[in-house]
Amino acid sequence: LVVDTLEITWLLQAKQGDNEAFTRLVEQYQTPVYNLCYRMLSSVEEAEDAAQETFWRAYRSLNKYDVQRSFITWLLSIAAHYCIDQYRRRKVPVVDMDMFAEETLPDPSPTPEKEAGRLEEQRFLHRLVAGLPAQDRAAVIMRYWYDFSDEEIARALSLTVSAVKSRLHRTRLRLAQMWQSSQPEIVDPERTEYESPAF
Amino acid sequence: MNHQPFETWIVDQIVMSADQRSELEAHLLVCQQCIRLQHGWQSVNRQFGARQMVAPTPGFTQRFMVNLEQRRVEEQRTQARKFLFFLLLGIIGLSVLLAGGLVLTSSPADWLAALLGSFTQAVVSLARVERWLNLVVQILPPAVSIGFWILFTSTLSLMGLVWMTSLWRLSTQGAQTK
Repeated sequence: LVVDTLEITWLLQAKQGDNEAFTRLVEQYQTPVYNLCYRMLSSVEEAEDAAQETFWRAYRSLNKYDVQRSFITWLLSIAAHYCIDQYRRRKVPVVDMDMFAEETLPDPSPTPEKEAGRLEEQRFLHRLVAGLPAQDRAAVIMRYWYDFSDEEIARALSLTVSAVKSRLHRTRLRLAQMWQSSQPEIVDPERTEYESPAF
Repeated sequence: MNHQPFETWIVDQIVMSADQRSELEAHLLVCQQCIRLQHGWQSVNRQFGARQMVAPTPGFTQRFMVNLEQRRVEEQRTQARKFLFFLLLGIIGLSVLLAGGLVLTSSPADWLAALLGSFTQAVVSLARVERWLNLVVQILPPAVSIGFWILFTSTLSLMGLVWMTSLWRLSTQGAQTK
């Protein structure tokens, strides 16, 4: 996510109306933008639309963008705001479970049980994240998928740094409690693999 | 039982001093709720550690370029429609204003008289122009007259064509902005 010279050249060219340069930026940042949209909306189709909309909005507002700022932070801020709006508009949350299964990395030495357990844990975490309020979800995604600092998250989501800290704390607490209360059989590290829950 | 500051220490992963660490360990020996919270957070954090970036399906950039072109055309059309709408609104507004002024300053009999007067004046002016044109055609030598008429009609046709093309472009593409 480092802004390099080539990227600045593309940005300057794109700001002057060079569509080819903007295409290179889309090529470069399609995955982070799409990933954020997907994590926010939990639907492949909606994530594609949201990512396309993000780049269109960026294209239209490019003259307002300050090249001194991080382009990816600016892009992800547009994506997050758009996804938060979309999420608030819809009434029923969508969770695309097939995609969660496809995205996970294969275990180098999997036993069927371990692999199934790992996939189940991944899916469960995604279900928990998908159940968070939109802005808390955006903050968590920015922190854990993009390693954004509190300040970067605050800037991207138009919040104060203290609000971000408090949201992240509240969300971590909630995720930990939900995880523990909903999946005790998976997550108790004190218990050995074959030990009965009764002990 | 008070779970603070232990909850914060567990989930916010702050760097703890040796004393704080001992304090937390002592608390975890007696507090089932905090033990469960710690186990829960460790599991969640482990899953975050194995996070993956999901990529879009291949051809995202190409789809964006097609989308971009369609949106630009649509935006230009919207802009053109807005321009024509406001132009029409301006003309209607001006007409209403003039009509309002007329209603307030004169009677319907006056408007009718003025309208008839203007119509008569227009007919008389047209007849004058026709007479003047006939005179010009008669005075000028025939060769010059033909050349003039060719030039005159060509210019008028060209201007009409340019005007129609401009209107067509404006209504379909809008004003080009960079």
